[in-house]
Amino acid sequence: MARAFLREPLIHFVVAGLILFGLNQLFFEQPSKVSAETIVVDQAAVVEFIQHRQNRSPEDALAQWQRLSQSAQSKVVKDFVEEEALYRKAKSFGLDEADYVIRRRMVQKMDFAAAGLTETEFTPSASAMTDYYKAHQAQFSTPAQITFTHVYYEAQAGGQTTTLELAAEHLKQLNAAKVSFSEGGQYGQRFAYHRNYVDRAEPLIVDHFGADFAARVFQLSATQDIWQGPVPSRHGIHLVLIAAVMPERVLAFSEVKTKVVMALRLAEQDKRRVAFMDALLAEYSVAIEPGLGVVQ
Amino acid sequence: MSQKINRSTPLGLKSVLPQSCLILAGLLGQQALAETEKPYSLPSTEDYPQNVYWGDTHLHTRNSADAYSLGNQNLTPADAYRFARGQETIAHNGMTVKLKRPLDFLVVSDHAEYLGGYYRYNVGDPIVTETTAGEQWSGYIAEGDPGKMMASFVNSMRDPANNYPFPEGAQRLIWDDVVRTADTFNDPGQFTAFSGYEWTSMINGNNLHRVVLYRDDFDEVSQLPPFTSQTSLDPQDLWRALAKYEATTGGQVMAIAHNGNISNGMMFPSVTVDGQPIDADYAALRARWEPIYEVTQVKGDGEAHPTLSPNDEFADFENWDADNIGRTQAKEDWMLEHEYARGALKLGLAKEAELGINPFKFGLIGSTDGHNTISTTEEDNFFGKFPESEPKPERMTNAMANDALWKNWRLVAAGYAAVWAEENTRASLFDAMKRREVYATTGSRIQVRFFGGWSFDASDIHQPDYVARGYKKGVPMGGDLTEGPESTAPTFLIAAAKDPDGANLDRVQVIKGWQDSSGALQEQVYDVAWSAERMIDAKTGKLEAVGSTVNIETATYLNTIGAADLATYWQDPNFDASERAFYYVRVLEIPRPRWTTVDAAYFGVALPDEAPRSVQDRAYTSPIWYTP
Repeated sequence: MARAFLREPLIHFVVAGLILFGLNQLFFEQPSKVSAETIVVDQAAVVEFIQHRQNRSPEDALAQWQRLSQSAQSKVVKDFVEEEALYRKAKSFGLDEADYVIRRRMVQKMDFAAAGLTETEFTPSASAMTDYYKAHQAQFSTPAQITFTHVYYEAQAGGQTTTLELAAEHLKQLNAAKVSFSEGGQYGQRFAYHRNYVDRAEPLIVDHFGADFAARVFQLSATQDIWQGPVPSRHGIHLVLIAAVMPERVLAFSEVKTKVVMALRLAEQDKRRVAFMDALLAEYSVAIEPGLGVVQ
Repeated sequence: MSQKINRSTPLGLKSVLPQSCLILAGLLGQQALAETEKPYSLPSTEDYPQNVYWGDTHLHTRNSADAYSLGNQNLTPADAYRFARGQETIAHNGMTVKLKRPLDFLVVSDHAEYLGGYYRYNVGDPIVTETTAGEQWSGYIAEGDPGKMMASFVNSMRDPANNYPFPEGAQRLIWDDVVRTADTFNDPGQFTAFSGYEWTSMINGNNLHRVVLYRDDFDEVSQLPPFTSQTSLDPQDLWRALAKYEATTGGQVMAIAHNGNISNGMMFPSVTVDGQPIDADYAALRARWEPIYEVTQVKGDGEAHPTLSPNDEFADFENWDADNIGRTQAKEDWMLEHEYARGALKLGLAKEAELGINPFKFGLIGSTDGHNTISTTEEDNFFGKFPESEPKPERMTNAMANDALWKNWRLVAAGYAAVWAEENTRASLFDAMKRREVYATTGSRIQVRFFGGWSFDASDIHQPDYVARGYKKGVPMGGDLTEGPESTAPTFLIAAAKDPDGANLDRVQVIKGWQDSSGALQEQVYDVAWSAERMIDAKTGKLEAVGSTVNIETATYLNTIGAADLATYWQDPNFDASERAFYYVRVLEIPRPRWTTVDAAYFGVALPDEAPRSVQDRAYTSPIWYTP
């Protein structure tokens, strides 16, 4: 019951609103009742002081004030007056405006409040999930991948041509003998990196063989038991047996449903931030100096 | 018909074979195979790990109290995963930063003590502000002493009675958020995001930190909140908490210790934190929960120390050996063997002889321990530890933690955890770590294979299928050898290849540690493969240095020396079957400009006198142990 209550979006806004209200109380100037030269010390002021200093409810703060001894009350009043005086003087010097720490902290508080309560359970509707999934297919896809093995020939002293001829000759023999994927390892020479590459994406193939080789093998088709090549790399010459080339694939909704929920949760936070920022910016007009060369 | 198709070898293997012979040999092999049933899906016939995955098991975000205090106030775990996957990020210094090659996996391991707390407090999140700790912090701030709030992170471990830990309810809400975020970015097959945290125990300023790493998803991991050092500073209590997690959830978890170098002798101890001699229970727990050790990271390299290994000219490498993490006590020589991996591996042999269980039987990985959410390890793309040590002209002369700790030029651009696994998933990577089929590098993607067995032939390493032979006739790094055939010394296959985007290789070494018949612990470094035609000096027993192509002024180097790959067969020339031993491989690159040299050239500033100008980045494999 309580959980269902917490899930209610309206409650989120109310809670976020309350946080903002609290921030407002904390950070934005209250309408001044008296002149700038007078520091009024009344019960409301000292209770609010205790409340903020000790992070207590107004009732607790009042109770605490009433429990304090005379001398302790005098100490609180002294602290309050000193803080208030220092604060007012600092403000009159404009120290709050020039202090980037205060500025960043205020901005962070606003940002946190705007994003909403992240710990509250967030259960998007079925349609929200499918809509999000359809709109963000790249996020729920696997990149193009290849599975292949290769027989390697180090570039020979005689130059690449000689090695190429040798590899071309071996290619015929490998195919004539119907040498399989797992038997390929018995041929050619030791290769410094891997012999078999299983479900690997292009960047790794580029890293191990160079860009030309990677581009070439991703264009070849899977042929199960037919060796292809020769394909040159930055190391030497390769004969390749490609078991599978999988193009970029969008995963089915059922495979990624939990991820969709999580992504929606992050997206919801971003949305709230953006909505908050839009509403906020609507209160201001922005004037960019033409000399800055920036177009709004 | 007399083409040279086999690599020539220094071992006298017939290097020139008629190609028809090779094909014939292949066909004979095929015939042998044809006698068994051919599986339908051929790639699946190889069930050994074929891929090495690169990652960082140790990274902090604004959720860590110290990171937040020292300026990382905006970058989240989600930002950490995005950056690791190759996305651009704006660093705290305003620069755009991007990895040249994305990571395959990442553990965001924020400090468990007040996890997420400082950020949430500062934005007024009631989850934190309404806790007793939050109220106490409000008091400090009201008193005008925010430094006291920052200090409560450390004070809460020393004195939790007066620096209140978060209640379990708050811990759970925050932990749920951390674990959900990891699940969100975990992408099986493409990128692994592990759930984890750091248990930050310090006793008298001595570092006993452990990263805790889970194999599981939200359903299991969220059942119990992190175990904090506010609850206990004793690693044995951490291990019991991990046991409780497994018993409660059916999941799997491990702990990875780091920075023995600033533990002042407490990381690999002879006595427990209560001063009792470590016993078989301690040894069994440690062996069970800590299969791997983070040997290299920004706060120093911890493989070897020159005082312990005076004959190893490469032991003096990026060591931080002045004091402990709290800077409360200077280093003393007796501490070193309890701090450095090689010393600890040797101690482990002695403990095994004494207790029947080796408490220090760990594999090796590296990681960054970055606290700015940005995991970088490369000399020419190094973004420091805290925001204060991100690239800027003054970062070589300022010091860590608002000038309170060590000079930032000392930071090591390190390291990587390299994992040999079947696929890039939580389960596959975790299992590989558990069987120690992993290795460390100090920031390069050097590829290393290391197999030990009793019957390797010298020619095996030069065959195209040397890896299959390695698994078939032996064990990979992290494995065990025992019960060898009589009067035979163990044989090894070692193959190393340069980082495809990095420096050439200088040499490959085998480091052997053993306990001799008198009970004394010994070590020996063997050069086993090297580039070009260099000689071992008969007098000193040392291999001639590889030289250097580094131009310090321009911070550049050339791959005109060194080798692109080195591979060899090696047999222990001094084997005694009655003596416990371990063997691990160290691969050295040729020198390249250190990150400080890169900075000096980029910003046009002077280098601190003490800063090394160049660096030979390296890889350390997990050992293979021999037990009589």
